[in-house]
Amino acid sequence: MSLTKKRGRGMAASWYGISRTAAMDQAGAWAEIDDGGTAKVVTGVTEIGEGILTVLAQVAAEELGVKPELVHIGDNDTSRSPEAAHAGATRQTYMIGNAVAMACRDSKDKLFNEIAKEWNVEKETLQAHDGEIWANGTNYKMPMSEAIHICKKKYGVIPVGSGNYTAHNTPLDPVDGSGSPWQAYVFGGQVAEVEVDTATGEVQILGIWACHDVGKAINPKGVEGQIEGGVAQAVGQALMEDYQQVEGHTTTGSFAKYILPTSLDVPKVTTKIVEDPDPLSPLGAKGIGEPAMVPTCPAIMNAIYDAVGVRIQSLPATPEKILRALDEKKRTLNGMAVN
Amino acid sequence: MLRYDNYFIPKNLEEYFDLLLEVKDYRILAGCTDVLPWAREGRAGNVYIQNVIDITNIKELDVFEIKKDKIKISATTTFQKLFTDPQIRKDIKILPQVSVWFADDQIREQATIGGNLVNASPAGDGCPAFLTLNAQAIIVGRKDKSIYERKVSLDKFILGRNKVDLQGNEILAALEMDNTKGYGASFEKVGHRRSLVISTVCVSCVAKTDSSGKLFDDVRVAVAGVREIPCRLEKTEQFLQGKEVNEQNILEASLLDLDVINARSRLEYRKEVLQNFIIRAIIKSVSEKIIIKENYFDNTNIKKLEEVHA
Amino acid sequence: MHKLTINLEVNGRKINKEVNSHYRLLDFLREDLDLTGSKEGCGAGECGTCSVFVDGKLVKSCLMPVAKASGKKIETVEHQGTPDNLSTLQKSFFLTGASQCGFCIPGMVMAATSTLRNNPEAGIEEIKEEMGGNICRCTGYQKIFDAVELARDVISGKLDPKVLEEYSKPEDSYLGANVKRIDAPGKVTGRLKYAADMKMPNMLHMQVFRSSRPHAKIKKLDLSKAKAVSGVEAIVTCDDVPGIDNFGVFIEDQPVLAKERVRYVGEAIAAVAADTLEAAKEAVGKIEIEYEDLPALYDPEEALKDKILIHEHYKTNLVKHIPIRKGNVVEGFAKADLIVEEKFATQPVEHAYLEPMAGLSYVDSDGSLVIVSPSQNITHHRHMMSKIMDLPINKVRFIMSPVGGGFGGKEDMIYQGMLALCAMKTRLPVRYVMTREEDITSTAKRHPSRTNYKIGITKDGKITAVQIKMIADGGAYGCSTEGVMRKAAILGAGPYKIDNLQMDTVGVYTNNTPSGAFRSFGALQTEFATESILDICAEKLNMDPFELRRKNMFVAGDLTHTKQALNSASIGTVLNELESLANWEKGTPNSRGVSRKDLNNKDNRDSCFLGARLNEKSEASGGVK
Repeated sequence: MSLTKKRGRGMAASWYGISRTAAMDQAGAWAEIDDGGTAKVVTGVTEIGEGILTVLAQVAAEELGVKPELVHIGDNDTSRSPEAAHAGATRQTYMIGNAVAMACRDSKDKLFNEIAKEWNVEKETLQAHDGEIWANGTNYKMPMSEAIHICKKKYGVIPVGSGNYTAHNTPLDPVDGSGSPWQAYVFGGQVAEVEVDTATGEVQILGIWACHDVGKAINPKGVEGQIEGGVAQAVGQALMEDYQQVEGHTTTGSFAKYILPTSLDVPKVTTKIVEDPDPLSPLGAKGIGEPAMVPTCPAIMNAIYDAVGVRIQSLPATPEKILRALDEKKRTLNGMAVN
Repeated sequence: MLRYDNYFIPKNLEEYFDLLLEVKDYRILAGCTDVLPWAREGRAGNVYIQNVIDITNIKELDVFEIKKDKIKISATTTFQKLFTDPQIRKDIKILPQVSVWFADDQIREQATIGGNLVNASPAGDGCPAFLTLNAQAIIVGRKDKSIYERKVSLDKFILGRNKVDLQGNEILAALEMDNTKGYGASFEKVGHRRSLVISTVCVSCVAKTDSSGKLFDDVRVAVAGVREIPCRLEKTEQFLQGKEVNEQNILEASLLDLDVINARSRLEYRKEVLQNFIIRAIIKSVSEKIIIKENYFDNTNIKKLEEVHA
Repeated sequence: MHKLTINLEVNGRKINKEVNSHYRLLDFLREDLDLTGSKEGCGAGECGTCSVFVDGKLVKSCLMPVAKASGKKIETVEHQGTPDNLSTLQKSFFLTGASQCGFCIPGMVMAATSTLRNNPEAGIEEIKEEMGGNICRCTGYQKIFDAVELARDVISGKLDPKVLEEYSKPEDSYLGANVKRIDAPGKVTGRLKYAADMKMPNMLHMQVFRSSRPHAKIKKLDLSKAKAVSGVEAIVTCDDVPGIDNFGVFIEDQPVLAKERVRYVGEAIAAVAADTLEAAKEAVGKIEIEYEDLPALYDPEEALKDKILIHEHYKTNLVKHIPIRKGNVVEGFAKADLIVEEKFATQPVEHAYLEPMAGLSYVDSDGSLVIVSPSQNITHHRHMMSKIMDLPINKVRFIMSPVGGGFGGKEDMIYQGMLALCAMKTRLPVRYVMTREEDITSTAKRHPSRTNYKIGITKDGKITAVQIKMIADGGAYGCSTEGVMRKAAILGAGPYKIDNLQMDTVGVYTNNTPSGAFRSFGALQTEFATESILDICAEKLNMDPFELRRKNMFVAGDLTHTKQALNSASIGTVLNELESLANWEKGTPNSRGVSRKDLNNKDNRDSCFLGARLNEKSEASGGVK
């Protein structure tokens, strides 16, 4: 018997590949610097909550020299937007972010051609940021809203740009699996601290420390949000979620039976972002969506072992499994003591 | 999906009983927090009832009295009321405790104690708490045009899984319970997470010591989740009466009623948790007077009564 | 359908309306008043997305018959603020990045509003408790809590409201800036319309008749009684498919509607389109079917024997086997001082995105077939749909509706084909909304896995050989099984230099619910085994677990398991930063929890024992705290 709550810590490392696996990946985008110093970006982007729309607005803002709040991202529609493929494989920041960057560079280049003429300066001296455009080494400066007006009305040029990004991933050899499935890899690790109630086998995850290489964090809060969300999903898989079927019939067909983590079950998550930029892409950013949850389950199981000396090798680590393992351990110890 | 044609909201008992004479196919509703999840795929599926009768507006049922020795609360009282009412929070500590473990805030605003009891689910948490307050079920019916009232002690009111002692047109009107001012309380249930938990073991305990603070004087322990009908642990309670508050006595007490368990699955687990919960519940209920440390019980291998004094 | 007249006040407006008597308050708000900010995430009171105020009390409106709301004052999320005029709480959600897919967010805003109204000084434990009835699948709750605490402090005057307007950014760049999410205003105000919120004039409602058998031939399907239900406009089966009837992410092995046989419980057989949801449900209930049961397979190892075939024309139940071979494991194990062999297993997992699958389809004025759905891959879906419907690609238009969570679960084109058939057949717009139960039981899950692991390691902790075999239950249809096996194989042995590796991942058909794409796609399963077994080794070698990883980790220039040279490998930096971030006390993982000194630092949450609002102290003394 045991009533007290015991704490322990465990760690795990991980790695992941960015974009489509072992197959070439591609994404296209259009960009246009628009009236009022705003911008339109259209690409086949699938926002599923990860924050890609905001990332793209930031990339566009950075490349075009406008404020991100003034960037409008068009809807994802097979009849209205260029192909950028799917939301998955932790690919959107990498593939679409880079495609948008390329499209924006094309658009800005077209604007700069005209403004260079307007000011009679070398195009290379021009720079734009946060809604203003200027020529280095001169006094020329004006708001982007004015520059776009001049470009369109005086010179008759609409600065529409397009861009494409390709990831040259190669397929695997069918016999030994050799190949280059991705251009970019990310690495991560997490530490988990748990409390095990030895009276019931219930586990609470009190803290997760997460360190992940994302190449370049375009929106750090967004990266944190992905890690916090991925950790919460992994906590669910580690402790309580279990889709069960008996002879093909589901017995956990509702949220009353399929148990998800609530606000009272998630740990406090402390994040540190590491930036090891991808040398092969314009932005250097890689990704976090999936990598965020890869080390969590083993870190938790390792922490449970640290706390109470039982190792759960079959997920989920339900209270029943833990109490049974604790009893088994006691029986074994007692057996050894007798011998 | 639950489909029905008519939704009746009788305003008083006469109207209610008259209605029952007119409709054939009907179901009584209180908070609706059990019936709507029930009428879905995987459970009852699509359900059609011609008439539903909502009893939450019947004015005679509206009672909430806290007196010195007894309290009387309507069956249509919500669990949230048991949580927020200042006097209940101060004096009848078991009720806010069971309440905070019950579903979540939103559901507590809707779920009624009567609905929970009449549903008589083996896992229903309300029942063990009320049992520790010696609850009496107050039932009203109408016979030959005259309305009557009868009282049944709660442990006799629950007859089995989803079965209660309501005859004919009777409804559960209210609960009358002990005012346990001065008693400590503890409620705990085990689950896979900390909210919205349907439990396989829950223990409710209300206890006080004598004036010296050294002896148990009136310990009441009730359990649910481990058997068809929640019940009090009579042997445990009788054993502790008048005994010294110490680890040995608590341990012995925890072993006396473990055979109340009558579950269809996970027997070993439930037995172990039940015993642990009983110990914890007793410790917590007297913790304002005496501190008993949990770690005394760690690494104790005593599972049988005989081993206690060995 | 029976109606009743309801009189109530909604967001300050007096309403007097006739409503379907069986409607819940949620249905009335969404369908009759078009207040779609309150969502039906589950319909059973478990998720909180339907939360509204009734006479000042927050309730779950999916659990309230509309008649119960009679005479009451209702307040929904739409009353809290507008995208251009957010409440303080909504501004806080906006600033902290609390909204991701946004589907749970209106409910969260309501729960947070209720919490702060009840106690403007609520601390974090109270906030968590009071929001315990609202589930989020995307955010992990942290930034939602941050938002509530921030709003509390601004409302109480502790913080200047100006803090809600600014975000941090590096001086000269928008890269690395915490720009507020551009899609947040529509989400925190409940204004953004997801597929189930959309309505079109003359819209029909679709419901699906699904298999009750895991493996059976369809002997007879009788639609006559169903067709006779008043309001039914069309019923579609596999016979209505004009083109090539199959779809799938890697192999196209799944028909839009079951053809001659069913392969899992929940497989779609027929779809009904009717003028009301109730009529469609009634018609589905009247479809009659005769099955001839076939022996079924539930275990992938059994299925591999190929004694019963689930897809006969493939001649095997093996979906995909990915092998990786590097060096020579026999020699590698011979060099090891320690060999550890263990088994690991993971369970099937449900995506549980808060938005159940939903979609609309219609034929446009130019004859294009349009499908509006929260699909994660409209590009691929369009390809498949054009072939299935025998239409040129430019006559098939997929519009992505806002996605209320995906995680890989909305990658399969599991219902859009049926919707399209109904739209084409009736030439009317058709909407389909899955119930939560339907979604859980009929859509793909994370592959469950069983892994046999053998690792050889020297006494100084250098891995000499690794042999991994993972078998995964792929369920009735291929979905993403091939890709999951591939990723599990490539990444499974971890970020470590291993000269001798034998990795085999095997995905197999069974008659269980199909397994498909789910965030981290196979790598989670195999890396779980690797990181567990490494700790077992660390204990046996008396090494700190970080040290063991360092001994073996990749550095730039190393060859991966697939013999690719890495141009960079940040694992060393990551491990160092992690160790210091967590303030990790070095030591061997021999369950030293009771003696370690690095526990319980400030970056932990408190252990939860309900009762924060009761000022109850947690466990009785003696517990660890």
